Amino acid sequence: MTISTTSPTAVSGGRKFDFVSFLEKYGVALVLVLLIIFFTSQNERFLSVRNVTNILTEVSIYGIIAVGMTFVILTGGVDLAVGSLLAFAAMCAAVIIQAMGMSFALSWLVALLVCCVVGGAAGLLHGVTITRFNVPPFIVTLGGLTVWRGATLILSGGGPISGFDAGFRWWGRGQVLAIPVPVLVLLVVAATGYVVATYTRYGRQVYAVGGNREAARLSGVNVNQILVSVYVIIGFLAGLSGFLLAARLGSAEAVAGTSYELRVIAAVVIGGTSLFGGLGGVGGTIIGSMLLGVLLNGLVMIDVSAYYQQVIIGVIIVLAVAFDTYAKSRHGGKK
Amino acid sequence: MKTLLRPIVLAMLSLGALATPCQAQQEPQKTILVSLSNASEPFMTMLRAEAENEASRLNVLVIFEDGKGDSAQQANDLENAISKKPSVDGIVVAPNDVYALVPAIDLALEKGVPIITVDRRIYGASKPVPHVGIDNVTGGRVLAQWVVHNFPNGARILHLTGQPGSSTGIERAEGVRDELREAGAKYQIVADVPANWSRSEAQTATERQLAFLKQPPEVVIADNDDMAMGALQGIHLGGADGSGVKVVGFDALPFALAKLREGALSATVDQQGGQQIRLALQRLVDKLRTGKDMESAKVDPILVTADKLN
Repeated sequence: MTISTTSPTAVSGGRKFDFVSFLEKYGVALVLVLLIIFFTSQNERFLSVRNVTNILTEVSIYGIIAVGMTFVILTGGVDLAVGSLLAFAAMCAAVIIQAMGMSFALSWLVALLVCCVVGGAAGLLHGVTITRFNVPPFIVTLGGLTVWRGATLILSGGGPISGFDAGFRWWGRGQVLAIPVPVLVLLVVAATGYVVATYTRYGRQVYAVGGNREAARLSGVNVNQILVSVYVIIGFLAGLSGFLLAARLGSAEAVAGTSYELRVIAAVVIGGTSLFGGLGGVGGTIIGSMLLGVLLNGLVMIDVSAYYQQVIIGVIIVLAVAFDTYAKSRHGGKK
Repeated sequence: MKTLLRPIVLAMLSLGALATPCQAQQEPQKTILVSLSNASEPFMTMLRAEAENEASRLNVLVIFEDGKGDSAQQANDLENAISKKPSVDGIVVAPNDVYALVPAIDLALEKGVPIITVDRRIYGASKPVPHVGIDNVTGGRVLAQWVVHNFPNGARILHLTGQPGSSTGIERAEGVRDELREAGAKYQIVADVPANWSRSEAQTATERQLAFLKQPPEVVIADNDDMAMGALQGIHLGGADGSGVKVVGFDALPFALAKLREGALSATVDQQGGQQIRLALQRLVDKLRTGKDMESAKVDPILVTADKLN
């Protein structure tokens, strides 16, 4: 008589529902839906047009950077300087606009160009320092965090710069077909990021570098070039966010973007991108950003103090990564 | 040659001896540290400008330090100024936090460096520290009284408060709440939100609260002018259903007075900040020059409305 070694459930005729796998794939989206349901139950205004618009607009500022952070973390790196870079880029633009007379035709274009160039250039500096001098990304961008913040304070001369004209401010406050402009920018950036990461050779190379750097190098990928490129991308996006934030608030502040790096990394990590590189994607990041946005808005709505908010975000990051690590270890490491 | 040498050396020595008493008579200029909690706030920027002006009038040298809203940073600024050789002669400080700056201020008292607080104060130090400022609880009440006077049938109020650890933030908010509570249940604070004296935080907070509330409030009490400006932006961005909201601020800074004239802002309170810091510097310099003990001074907050401007 043969003794069957199949699991008991095989006898009953169906595969046991793999709860952990389900959570791994859909957990974040599920939590997002549950949070929305919870907050709406506390105050029906949570889902009002006005509030949803607020949430999406707030999400777009760090969501744009999060798309870039996805690429960085996919290579196994990290960029801690994004918040300070956002402020620095915006302050550079403000100083230049101010010197040019503050209000003139296409001031927004000048500001946008300055922000993107400053951001991209700083990103290039980060990338080159990481690859040429072999300094870990954590350290380089940690230095950047302080350096760019200090530079912003120096440039600002002690106070915020405000007084941008309507054309500039439209980028933060205007709407096209009832959709706020920053949200549209996020959609464009997210769609582009998703397509690049999923369907282009460059995207595959980014995943390869993060998944197994030596193997990537051996199969002909220019690893250094890929590494530098992701920091340039995130620098550019940080500059873009700085532009949108300055447009929205109507001023460039020295303290803008403080602690944004944590929020951005949280969005990426909650969205399922592994900090070790090679796994994850832009789609998850967008959902992670939305979850964070809903959470932050909801907590303010139910009057939770800002300090508790920080605790909650921190706990969520740890739980998200812990769960993700556990789920992946169940099927023996990388897919 | 040898015969000339002696007289020449004697002449040089005598000249040297004559010169020294002259140098001793010229008093080295006193150096005063003005430590601001956050120099980029418009109110503090105004204090700095007034302090510079007063310092040149009093013929003292002033060094400014910016705490950037960080108590540890400000404590460092104070300790460095006290410990360096030579230390500063006196300190005027607007402390970032009512408790966190006490050790640094105690250090000044211990080392015998005269110290006086301006605008904001601390709670508890080893010895009483002289203070120049308004009674912020009264200041808050003045704002709330404007609301009660202008809305006799009651009102729903959005209250934007300042930095949670500052004496000005704590006391002004207390004054507003006490006055409204005493005025009766028809005055309801529908949302009481800290916005850290910041225009941008106030804008974000106002946008959010307008989304959460079923109906917009009748009044926004912003505990300072910068937050009032942020509130105005937040209401403006909100569109039609926010436009009937009245906003009041505090500090009577030039940009607020401009908004007052336009009609966008309904009222503000002049706490005579320039007068405060000038008085603080004068008392400190008196102490340094004549040894006269510094006394606290209370300045009166004055309600400012559009009609009072003309």
